[in-house]
Amino acid sequence: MDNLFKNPEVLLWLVPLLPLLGSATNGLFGKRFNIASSGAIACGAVVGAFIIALSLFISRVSQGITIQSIGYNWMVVQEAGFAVSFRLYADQLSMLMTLIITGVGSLIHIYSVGYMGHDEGFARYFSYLNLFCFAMLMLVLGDSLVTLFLGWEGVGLCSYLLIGFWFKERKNSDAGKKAFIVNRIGDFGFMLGMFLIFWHFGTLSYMDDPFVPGGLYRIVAENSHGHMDLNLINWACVCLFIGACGKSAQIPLYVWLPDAMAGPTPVSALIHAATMVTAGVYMIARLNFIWVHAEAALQLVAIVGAATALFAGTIGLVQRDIKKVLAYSTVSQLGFMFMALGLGNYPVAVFHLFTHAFFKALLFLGAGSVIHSLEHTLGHGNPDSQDLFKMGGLKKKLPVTCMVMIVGSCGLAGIPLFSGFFSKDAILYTAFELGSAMGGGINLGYIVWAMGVAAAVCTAFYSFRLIGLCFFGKWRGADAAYAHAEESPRSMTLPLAILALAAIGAGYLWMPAAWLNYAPFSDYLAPVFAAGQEHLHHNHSVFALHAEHSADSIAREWVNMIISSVVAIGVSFFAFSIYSSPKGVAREQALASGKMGAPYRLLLNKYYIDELYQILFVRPIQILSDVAFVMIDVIFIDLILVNGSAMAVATGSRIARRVQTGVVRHYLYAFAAGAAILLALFLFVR
Amino acid sequence: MLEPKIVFALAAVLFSVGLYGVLSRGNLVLLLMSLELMLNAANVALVGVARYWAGMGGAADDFSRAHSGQFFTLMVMAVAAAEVGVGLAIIVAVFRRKHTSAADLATELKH
Repeated sequence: MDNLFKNPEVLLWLVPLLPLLGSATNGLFGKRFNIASSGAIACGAVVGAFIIALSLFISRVSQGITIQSIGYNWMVVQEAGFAVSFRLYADQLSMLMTLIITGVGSLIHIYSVGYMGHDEGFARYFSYLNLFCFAMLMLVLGDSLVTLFLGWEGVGLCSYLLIGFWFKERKNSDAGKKAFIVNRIGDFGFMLGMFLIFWHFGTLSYMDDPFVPGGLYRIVAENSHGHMDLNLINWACVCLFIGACGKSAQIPLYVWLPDAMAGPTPVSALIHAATMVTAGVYMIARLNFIWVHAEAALQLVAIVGAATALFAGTIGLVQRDIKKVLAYSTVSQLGFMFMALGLGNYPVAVFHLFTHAFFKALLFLGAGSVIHSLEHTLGHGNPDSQDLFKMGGLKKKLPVTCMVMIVGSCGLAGIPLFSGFFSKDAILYTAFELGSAMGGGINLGYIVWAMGVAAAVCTAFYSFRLIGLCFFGKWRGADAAYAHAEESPRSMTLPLAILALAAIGAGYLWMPAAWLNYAPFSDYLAPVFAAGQEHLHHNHSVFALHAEHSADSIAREWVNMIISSVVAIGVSFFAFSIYSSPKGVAREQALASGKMGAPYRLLLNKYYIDELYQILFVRPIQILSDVAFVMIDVIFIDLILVNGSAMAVATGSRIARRVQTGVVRHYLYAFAAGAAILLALFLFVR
Repeated sequence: MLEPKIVFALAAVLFSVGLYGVLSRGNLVLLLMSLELMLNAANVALVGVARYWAGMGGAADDFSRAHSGQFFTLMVMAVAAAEVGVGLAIIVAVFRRKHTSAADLATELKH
């Protein structure tokens, strides 16, 4: 027994199973718990998982030893050669994700004890949150696309449950349904992608498959020189990307994420900023050895990512709800990650995922702290507690929150020396470098780079607009709320402080080559991407990553870095100076009613995309449903089949009943007639 | 030798008269009488056929073939007597309830 639990192949299972156990405990016996015991179970489960993951990371994965857990073959179909490898596989990438999920997850669980302490549904909340951690860990640790999909659906379910956590309000449960349905569209594409991959490669497991030894890794590596149907792989990747668009909120399926802010704020931090929405990024990075063969699909990813980054960034410029600003910024940052993936720089995408997890979780939790302090007076669910135009000057009241929010915003805006700078700069540099490598004037690289820089401008602007409106200037809301606002309890500020340190420090794990040749993050992840890169180098593809840097590329990196830092600092300062002055709101409102009113309203109403979808998709489906309801349900089934058959029997009986007169002679007539007919039959027909 | 045709013709006439009586008479007693007439038409046919077969010759010990018609007739008479007994009892019961013996007024079977 002792040895069993020292075995990493067994120990790895504890990482997802502890949160599952916590979820079951809180879900089944939650009614008997108070907030302390319920929170202790939930936090203990996730912290325990984090400690186990950390020990495995230090003892194995950081040494370059991957772990394949024990497991079994699930859903074996001998005839089709199909089996699902139900095992966990911890390599550098999945271990990193595991650490992010359990690490940031632990902090958010601890924060939640303070944030949800007054909510009567805390046991339900913690049960869902632990279940989410379990599903997300299955997603990243599973050794097969099917177990990934299992987790994929699981996190979708938890997202739905937690968005609609306060389901007594109609709009919250509607937001949950919207998230679920939009994700279902993406999942359909994801499943098609899985079918195509199984069709082509005969397996869905990465490493272990009873019918295809070595799984996808081996079979793709063996066939990488021309034995693959590239057309089919492109289509498979496009289908998988549709799934990623749903889960990671990319155009055209991003519409659910801003609405998902209806859930409790820690949920927004964990699920809708740090972890679940990055599942699409993880999936593409995980399958990078397949994606390197799908250049057309990758270009689609790059363009969609860049467009999403810019599109969502512009919407974020004018939102009034503090959480909506952060939601659009998340969509925008996810766009950056897809941009990097599409340009073939998978490690940088994962790096941005990593830094984003910290500073965005930090920003959301900071916003939660602000909302929490205002809700005290304004009442739970009061929209005023999230309205930036009704805040201001909270720096004095919430000094810690203010500090960490500034740190988070610096990270988000890409101010030099903060984590977001390193990762976002690396993405923009990738695009710039690719632009110069592709040559021939305006090309994909330069276009994506320009869109990325424009998106970065938006990012810097809305980040410091938020800071200025929220913490500086004069209070613009109800006086009572300001008077009673006070800093959140220790259980909330402590996670904020830890996240703030991470949001500063995370970036130093991968320094720009122009500064220092120090990139432990990239070295650590290199084995995950080695096979794909080998193929690209073999084909002299422009998408191949180069470890060595020429003087030219260093120069280009400097140029890119100077442009993006000047933009980030300049725009941040500009936004901050406008909105930290008491006149900031008045100026924006003057702008909105003045000459710039039309574009302002366009942004404020999110380009009317929701309305467009309403007209294009929702209304037609509703009309179709109404027609189907009347034609099929009301007329065909109810009227014709159900009532019709009943009426036919009733009418028939009414006619047949007339025969029963009760008069004996009538029966005798019938009897005689029957006998006569029988006689006639015997005599003449025979 | 009696012609079977004549016997059957007599039986048919008797049966038809009985049937007509059953269908046209409204009185329960007349109905019962007409029924008797029909039964007796059958008896005539049975006896006639028995007699006809007996005259056909064949094995001398074929007793049952020669006499089964007569036995059946006796049987029918016994059954008819029992039936009349029951029928009259019903008529008496109907008359007690309704003070009439008109068949068409007894329609309780309908309900």
